[in-house]
Amino acid sequence: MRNIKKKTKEDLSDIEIVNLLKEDIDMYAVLIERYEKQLMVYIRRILFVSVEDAEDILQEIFIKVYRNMNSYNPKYKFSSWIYRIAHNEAVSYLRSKKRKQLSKNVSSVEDDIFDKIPSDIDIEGEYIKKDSIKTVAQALKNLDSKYREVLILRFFEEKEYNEISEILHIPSGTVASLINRGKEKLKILMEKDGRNI
Amino acid sequence: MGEISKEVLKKIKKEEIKPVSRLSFLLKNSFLWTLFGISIIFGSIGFSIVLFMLERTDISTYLSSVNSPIKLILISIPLLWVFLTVLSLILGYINFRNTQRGYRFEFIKVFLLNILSVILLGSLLHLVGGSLVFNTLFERNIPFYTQVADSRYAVWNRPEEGFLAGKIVRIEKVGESMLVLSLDDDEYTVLYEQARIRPLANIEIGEIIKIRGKLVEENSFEAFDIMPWDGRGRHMQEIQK
Repeated sequence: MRNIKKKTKEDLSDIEIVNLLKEDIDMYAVLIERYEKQLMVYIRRILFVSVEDAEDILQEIFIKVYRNMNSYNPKYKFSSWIYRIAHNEAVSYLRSKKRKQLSKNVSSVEDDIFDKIPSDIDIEGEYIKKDSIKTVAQALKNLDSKYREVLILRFFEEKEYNEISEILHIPSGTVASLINRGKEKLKILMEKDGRNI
Repeated sequence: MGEISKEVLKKIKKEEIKPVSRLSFLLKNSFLWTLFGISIIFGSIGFSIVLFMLERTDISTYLSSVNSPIKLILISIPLLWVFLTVLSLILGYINFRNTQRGYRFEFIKVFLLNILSVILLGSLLHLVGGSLVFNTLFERNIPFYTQVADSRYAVWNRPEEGFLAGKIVRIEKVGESMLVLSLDDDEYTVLYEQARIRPLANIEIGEIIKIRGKLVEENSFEAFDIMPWDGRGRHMQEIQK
């Protein structure tokens, strides 16, 4: 019985859950569990923080999502909206902690967050192979955050251009140019880092 | 239930966190659109006053007769209003960018559209006389507005370069000369026997006039062209006093 109830909840769409929240706040747990893993990885990928720090940030994200629930426009993807809030929280975290240089200095963060590159994703086919994931992670750490986030969203979070546009609040054309320039810069960093590994 | 969801729900319940109402977001968005509209309107007023002031300096006739027309143009630009107009454009863009879907549009497209709107509305406002109305309103209600904003003070206060303006304090019957108190409160004897006197320029004591001419010696000025202080450009003949 419990399984059936749980499955029913899992089958609900994000919007249906959002609508049910008005009557049953506990339904929010379904939404949290649906997004916590992917947002956790996303946060760690863009901020290079520890699991503990990422959990704290994640809690803040879900509180903000709840607080701002009524600003969600069902015409657009819920996942883009929740990623937008995660992005904003990450930016706030960077500002408050003044850790803009964090990515270059933190060495304790594991690279496993970049281990799950789907095989059909090809950032730059000619030089990114599975055995160079470490090089990718290192290069991403050193990449300017404006390129890093857009590349992570496109190639690791597998978001479409219009979704990235909604998450970062930049025009689709800018997304495309950031991706292109980011790839160029990543390539240079990877070649440099690759020689040092 | 996972740890994070437990913690989040616990915090929401404990602190009695409630979602912000939909109305608040609607109001915020409407407020941004209103600010955007206001900035376009204010920018248009600013641009119309820029046009009005440029025209009122009456420099167009003399651009070909001065050594440095570019310098004259630069002096005649009402910088305060140019600055306020540009500021309105920037604020307009920021407000637009922060509306719900404003981010979707490229900066250059939004900015160009803003500029175009301000130029069109501002020109229209100027043509229908709105710029004069607004400028008069500011002149009457803002202390030191005229001295700060009005570029005529910069253009027509350079007697050594042939641009003099001031109040007629005395008229000599003999020799067609008058004593003019300049914008800097210096007295100049103005000889106007050979001068072209525009229809609306009254040579009467107390009148403020603009004089294009030549400084012949210290505090002595030979006028070529005399215009009313409030005349402006090609409309100078028609303007009602």
